[in-house]
Amino acid sequence: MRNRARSALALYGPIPVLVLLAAGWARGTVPPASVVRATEIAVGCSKCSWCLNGHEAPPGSDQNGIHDYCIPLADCNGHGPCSPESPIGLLETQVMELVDQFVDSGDEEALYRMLSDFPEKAVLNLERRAVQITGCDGELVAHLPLEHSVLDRAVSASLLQFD
Amino acid sequence: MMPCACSRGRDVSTIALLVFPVVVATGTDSALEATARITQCKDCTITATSVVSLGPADGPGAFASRPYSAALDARGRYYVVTPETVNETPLVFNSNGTFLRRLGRAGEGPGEYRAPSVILATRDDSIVIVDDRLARITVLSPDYSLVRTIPVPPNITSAAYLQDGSFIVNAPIRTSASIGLPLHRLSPDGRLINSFGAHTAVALPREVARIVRWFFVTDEEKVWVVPYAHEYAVELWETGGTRLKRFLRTPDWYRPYARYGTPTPERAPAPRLLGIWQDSLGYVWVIGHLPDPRWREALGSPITAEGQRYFPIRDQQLAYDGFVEVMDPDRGIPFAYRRLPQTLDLVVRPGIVGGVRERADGSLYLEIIRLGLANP
Repeated sequence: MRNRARSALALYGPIPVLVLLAAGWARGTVPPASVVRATEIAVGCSKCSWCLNGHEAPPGSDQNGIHDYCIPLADCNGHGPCSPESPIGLLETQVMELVDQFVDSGDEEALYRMLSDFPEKAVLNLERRAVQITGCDGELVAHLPLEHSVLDRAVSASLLQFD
Repeated sequence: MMPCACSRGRDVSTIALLVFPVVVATGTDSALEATARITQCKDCTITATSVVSLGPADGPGAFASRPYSAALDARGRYYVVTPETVNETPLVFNSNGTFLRRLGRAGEGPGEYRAPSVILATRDDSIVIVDDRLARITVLSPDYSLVRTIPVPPNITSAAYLQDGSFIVNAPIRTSASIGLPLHRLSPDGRLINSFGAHTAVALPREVARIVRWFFVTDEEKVWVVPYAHEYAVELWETGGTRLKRFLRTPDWYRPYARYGTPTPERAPAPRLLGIWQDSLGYVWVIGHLPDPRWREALGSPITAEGQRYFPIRDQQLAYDGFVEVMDPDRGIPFAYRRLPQTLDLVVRPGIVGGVRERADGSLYLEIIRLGLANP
């Protein structure tokens, strides 16, 4: 019992409230327990975090039972692979790079490219005046509010696509 | 004359009493009332009294992992959950810290739990338990018999039970209508009524901490809210989704920051907030973590994963100090502040907080601390 407590505190204590939350972001995006063993520990659910997602630890390990951890790392940038061969990751890399460009530098061209090149991933939600991005698991992973003028231009750019 | 907001007495431990300017204060302007409240307690100091410790070093009441949530009922019983270890059921302790029993058993049927992550004691001593893995809430009667089980969204970080049987929860709901909004009102049967709690709702995969909130629901069902990370902003919301007040604090010890990351030898642990409540006299209390001056000593050997170095914190108490701040609810003017050498990690109920501690043998316990105001 003591070892279990120490292990959890030492390894996962830094960000206690994030563990469950982050695990939820990753849930469904990591390989099944039969593929990844808890002893491997560094299972990337994205480039910015490690996850142990519902894996049964082997007997004798000091991580007894099933664990569900995810540790966001420093300078987390959210990139992650997303393919049938590597079903780990929240968002396709190309889409994520466009999201980063738009968020970090306000590059509207990146927004337009998101909408035009990845229409199945990036959509405008006019009611919430935002662009919303669907992740690898088919659920929304990002929501970026747009200023009125940016939204107007994005709508115009989207309409031009259909002309 | 206003009623005195302070208990009488003197706390002889280290006390820092500071009055800060308000940087941004919007919402209802009750300047006279605010001034009166502060004048009433302008010399108040914050007292912190250790009440009891929960969690023996070994045996059936020992914590298998870190406590995330604790509650105290009117009978003086404490309830604790440790969700990092699956199949650990809620623990019950008496007011002296003696372990009494567990609630339910491991499993997925009625009255069973996989990873209880939030626990509440209601006014009538019912017990409300959020199970993260099963994505459901279990309500128990005061004698711990099962009342109902309600399906809820997964990944609930904090929750409140309202008088009409509905709930407010903090969770990342990933639908087009709710994504980015931190708070959600759920009907008594778990249906989403509405989402609220952010003027500019942003959700990004790289910013998992941005959605986390701690909150307190007043008798009038208004909601005081603070974010876990990024900024020290105290807000008051109506459950319908209208923001009534916002007080942005930017003291030297808590500057807003863009990204939440783990510490490195070059970067101190980020300050963060861990709870909020409003006391019976109206004062708003906030607790949180600040980097301990010795934080570098807390870092363990680096581990490399996917090209990045991660420094596990080997000792939470070396990494963080705790802090408490008390402010006027009308204008958000803080009038009492105290920094503590040990962490304050969770709110048990208004005025009662918990700090997770590690013994020399590695076992964990929860120190229950009563916070108050003393007027010398």
